Amino acid sequence: MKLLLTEDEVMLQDAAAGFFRDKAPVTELRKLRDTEDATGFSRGLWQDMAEMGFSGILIPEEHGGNDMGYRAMGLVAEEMGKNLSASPFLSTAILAATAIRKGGSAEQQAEWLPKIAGGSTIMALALDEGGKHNPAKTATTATPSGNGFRLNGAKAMVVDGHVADKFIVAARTSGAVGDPDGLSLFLVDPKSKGVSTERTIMADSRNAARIVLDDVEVDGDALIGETGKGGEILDLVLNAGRAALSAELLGSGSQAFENTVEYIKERKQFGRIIGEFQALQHRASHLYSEIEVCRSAVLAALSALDMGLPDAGTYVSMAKAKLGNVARLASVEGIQMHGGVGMTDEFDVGLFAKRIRVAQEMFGDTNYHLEQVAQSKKF
Amino acid sequence: MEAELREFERDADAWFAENTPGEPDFMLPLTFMEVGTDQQFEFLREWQNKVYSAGYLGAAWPKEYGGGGLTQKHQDIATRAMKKYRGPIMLNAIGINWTGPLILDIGSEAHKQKYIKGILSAEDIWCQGFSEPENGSDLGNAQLRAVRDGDEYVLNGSKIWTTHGHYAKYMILLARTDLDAPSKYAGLSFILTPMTVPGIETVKIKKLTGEHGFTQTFFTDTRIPADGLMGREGEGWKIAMQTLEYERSARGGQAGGYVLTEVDPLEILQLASKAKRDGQSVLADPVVRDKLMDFVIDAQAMALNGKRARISPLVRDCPQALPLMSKLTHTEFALRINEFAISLMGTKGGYYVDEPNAIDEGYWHRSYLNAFSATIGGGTSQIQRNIIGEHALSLPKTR
Repeated sequence: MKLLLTEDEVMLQDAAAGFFRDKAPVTELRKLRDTEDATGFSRGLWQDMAEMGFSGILIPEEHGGNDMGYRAMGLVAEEMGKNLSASPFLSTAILAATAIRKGGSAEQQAEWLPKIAGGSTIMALALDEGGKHNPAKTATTATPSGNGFRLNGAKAMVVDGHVADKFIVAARTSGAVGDPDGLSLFLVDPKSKGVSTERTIMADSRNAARIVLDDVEVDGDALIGETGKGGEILDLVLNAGRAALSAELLGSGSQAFENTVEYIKERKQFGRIIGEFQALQHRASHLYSEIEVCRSAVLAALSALDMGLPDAGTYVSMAKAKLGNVARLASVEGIQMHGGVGMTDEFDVGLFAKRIRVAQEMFGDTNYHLEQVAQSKKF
Repeated sequence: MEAELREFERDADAWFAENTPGEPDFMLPLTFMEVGTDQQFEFLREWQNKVYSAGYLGAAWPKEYGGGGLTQKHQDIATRAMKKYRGPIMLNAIGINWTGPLILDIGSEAHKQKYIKGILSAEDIWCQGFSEPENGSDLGNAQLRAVRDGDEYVLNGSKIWTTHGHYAKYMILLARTDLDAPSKYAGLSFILTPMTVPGIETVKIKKLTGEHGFTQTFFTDTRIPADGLMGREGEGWKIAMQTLEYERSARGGQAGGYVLTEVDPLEILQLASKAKRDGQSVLADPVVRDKLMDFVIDAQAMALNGKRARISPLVRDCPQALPLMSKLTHTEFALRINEFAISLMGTKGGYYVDEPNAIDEGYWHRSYLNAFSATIGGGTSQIQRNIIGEHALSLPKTR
């Protein structure tokens, strides 16, 4: 496992850092929020990201991508986390691209992967249905109908759902709710009869939607992979998504921390820079140490995915569990150590806290992933 | 080179498989800091000597002073084999881990000729005279007096927490040579001191575990040769800080092996799998499961972090930062995991060493209490956090 970034990776990291700092810094998220932007991200930014090759990072060259892999994905996600950059990177370039690449037919791959890489199609994964994340609890059904299927159910927390050109819907073709098997994945057009979509208002000012599927008819070729085998594809999709979220949390958590350290070096009370106070120094040093441990956990997860290790999912769960805890700590300590201004909208630390809150819950919080690790260790 | 390393690996593996001693019929110390009986001392001294004689300690140290003249890769291979067969710890920790590297880096030719071989063979045990009863974390305020008199220094004062104090032949001593220096730091000097001369008294200190391992050391008009001075007078603080960098693994050059028994989370998993609550495995308790997995995750991430701390490009900007946080996280982790192990045992967690019904002969409770020596020794966790704050985060110095 390479713990040092390669030259190519350092170049990518530098490019991504400069790109998001210039094109999608925190002020851009504020603008999207304050203008109540209907899309929730800048389509121009997404085009620029496609030109940078970020949208094709998990897509093979034959389909217009650059296939740089998961470590590269993580570097981009981390920079986006530092800048709170809103884009369909997670929904489309990671989740959808992985679903179609790993589970899709040759036709599906040829049709959709170039569009994802080129930035012309937005896709959204419709998986969670409310309550806590747990794919086995999927209750949405897909029953055979004509030469295809009829879908019924309701989805929540569908990232970029209200602007997607296509949904990838997880539905149950067999088994009971709670059964990890029996899921299938379907490509669904949001304009189909019976689909209703409603954007949800999120703490992090980012995109998510509720979707209702009411007797939605799809053709047989809408199925991704085989009937009932969607769970296996989902594992790969979710591993990629969780690893990206872990890297994003590393970026957001470390940036919230950096803002905090800069603040306590400037703020004066009792005639002193407050960073002189040991009570604050020790909390900062603790956070620094924890964030460095996180850096190792994220690097291990991304490397395990690139290496195709059989227990890569465990590495990913370890990272997501650890980052959920530490990024959260960085954000709450960040607000507290900023004092009164930490409560204001003007300071960015609150925006980081809100994004971290949403991202730590997405696709399994710390407790969910601790349990995944326990099961992988046969407990 | 690769083929030669592989052969070395095969040989080392075979040697440790053949020569690693089994558990003796007395309790071995968990770390070099709890060597309290002659029986323990002789057993560990013989083991270190055997490892050295076979070429598996100091393999990367220069041949002309008694080392193996090979590379760090060789030594790392030997240390891995030692770990694999769970060999006992190396005894002469202060010699092999910090005095030896210090002498090799900045000592005189005469120092190297005189001391290095005895450090490796465990013939010459070393101790460290830094902390004083009145000056612990405030090490820069050390008051033990050294007055130059011809070719000698005359010592008066006292040192404390002297690990191996009653066995040591030599001490690395931080002493005050100048009372009129412009700062408290500038008055200090660093002296290699014999412990076998008249005027030195060592008094054993009993630990809260019931074990021994360190002493208070008293110096009364003690005359020592002045040629033990390292660097120049007044450079003691700088050299002491360099010594602490070896101790905290922030600098390389150690002879190899290990001097502490680290808790492996897998042992805790074994312990947990045996523990019951109301007839059920404690592993059915989600709180216990979550905590256990937290330890497993931290252990793995910290191990990778330790590796990152040794990759030079990663530590170029701030050489101390990763090693310092490694010391802090590892030692605090050891405390937490040992405490958790005790909690798993329920009421039996109160049983102590020598109680026949104690789980694992009371190992966990002893290990827990001894774990404090690492969160206090070598700079307390609070001092580590000060240093990280000031050096890694560039926060203003606390007044």
